[in-house]
Amino acid sequence: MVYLDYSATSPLLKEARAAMISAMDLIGNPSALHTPGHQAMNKIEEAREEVAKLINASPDEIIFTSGGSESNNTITNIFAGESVAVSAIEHPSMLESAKTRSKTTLIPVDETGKIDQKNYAKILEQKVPKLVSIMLVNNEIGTIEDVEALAKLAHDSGAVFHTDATQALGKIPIDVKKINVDYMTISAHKIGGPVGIGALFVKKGSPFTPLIIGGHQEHGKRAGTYQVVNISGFGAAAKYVSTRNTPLLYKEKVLPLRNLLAEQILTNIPYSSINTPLDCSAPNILNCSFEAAEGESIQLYLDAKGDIIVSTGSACASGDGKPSHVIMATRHDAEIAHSSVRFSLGLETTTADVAKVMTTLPEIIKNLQGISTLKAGNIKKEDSYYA
Amino acid sequence: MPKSPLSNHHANQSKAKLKVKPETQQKTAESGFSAGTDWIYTDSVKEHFLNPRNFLMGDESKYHADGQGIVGNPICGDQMLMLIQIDKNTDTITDVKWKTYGCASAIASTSALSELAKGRTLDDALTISAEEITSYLGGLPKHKFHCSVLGHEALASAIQDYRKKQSS
Repeated sequence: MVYLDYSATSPLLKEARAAMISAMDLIGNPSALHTPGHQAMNKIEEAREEVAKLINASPDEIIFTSGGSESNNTITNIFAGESVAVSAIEHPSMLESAKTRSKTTLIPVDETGKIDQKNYAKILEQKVPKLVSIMLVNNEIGTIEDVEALAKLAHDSGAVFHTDATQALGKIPIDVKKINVDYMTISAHKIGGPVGIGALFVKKGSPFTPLIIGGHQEHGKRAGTYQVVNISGFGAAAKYVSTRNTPLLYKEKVLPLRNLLAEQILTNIPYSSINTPLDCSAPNILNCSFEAAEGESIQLYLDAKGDIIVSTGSACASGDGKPSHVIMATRHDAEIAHSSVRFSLGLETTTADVAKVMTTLPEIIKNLQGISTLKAGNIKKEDSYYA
Repeated sequence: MPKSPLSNHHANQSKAKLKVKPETQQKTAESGFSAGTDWIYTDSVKEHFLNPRNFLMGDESKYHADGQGIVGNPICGDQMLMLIQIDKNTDTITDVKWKTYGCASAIASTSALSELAKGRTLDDALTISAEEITSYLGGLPKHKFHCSVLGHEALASAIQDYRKKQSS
């Protein structure tokens, strides 16, 4: 199998698996004062230190949650009823929860997915949001936002700043002190940890209201019995990222493969275009569109004919009947969004994997374009690639 | 912002180095699926998706159609074109070709419809419903039914097109 869906979830690292299996033998509730409880709590605090170290935070600034969605929901819950501004390309767990809980202004992005500076300044000035949330790396097209500068502007206007760094963790260096954010969402399973565990960085002194109440865990900031096994797995994955310096590995090993795949697709597949801004994006994400071919069909043919695993921004695969809001926000074209495919590479991805894609994909696209009612070539050339 | 080395590169036909025969579309997938467990679709949908019947590859103007109809909207993600040939003496559909832009269930349901329609009289073909197509495929996920099973409307439109031409 050629697995190119690492941004959806990553295989469990053997280090994380070992830590989890070991933690399964811990019988005590970490909140208990007896010896087994204390032993379990030690594991949690070890993991917390590793996670904190990964983003240059203090351990007491880390709250374990059930994952990125809970972390994002925790943020919107703190600012429920307040004026909130979030980027138009946030993950649905931020977009939908913000819209549900608050009067929310969407900050538009340009064709690369970068925040539109003029509109951002206007929103800060006119809407006076209490909270601004802009993701560090977009999950669909990989755009890296200039969070340090954006956070400064938010702070200057009196707002606090949250960033969803779920797709950035382990892929690019992260330093919460340098970029000076007030809150940050991260998740374990994007870095080879288990699904069902994530964290929220809360800078000391930042406003906080727990989303889940009814327990004193996490100093009253997140009720619920500690998930010792998952937290141990997260800690081990975090340690792996720190000790191996995976952002450097991604830059040296994965980025050239990602760019090779982009170049080969553009060269060899008629009417293809790249939705990812290659010079300002995470090193492992490549989002492409193929005119007149539909994304779910591309995805399933790649699976069936090449054992190649990718994801798509097509409405047909989304479950809610809508095409990717990210591609719609950047390229403003439903056909382009329906035809988008995300290749997300990992440290295990090889040149042979890229070659396998290129022996399979061109034929699939040619055939889908051949039986399509749409004529490829209708999308204006100048609108078709941004970087 | 500095342009990347790939800026404004747009793949075009002249750069293509493809040597693909259309019939390769009809090859059976070599990497198999466990029956009914790996996809949300039934085996029958998978079969019609992976080996679609009666599709038209390329320019439809090269196919002589006695009637044709199109339905759907690419903005919504699905569009089907049905082309039919008719035996005027028996009022029977002798050949069906189709083109589809859409997801796996759109392709599979149009393929299934082409099998269902061939050999039927026009009046009989007009009775083909979305339910009949879905049933022929062994069912479709609920959220796929309304958006992707549209081919029968394109077929009805093709029959109408043929009858209109006959009467004029």
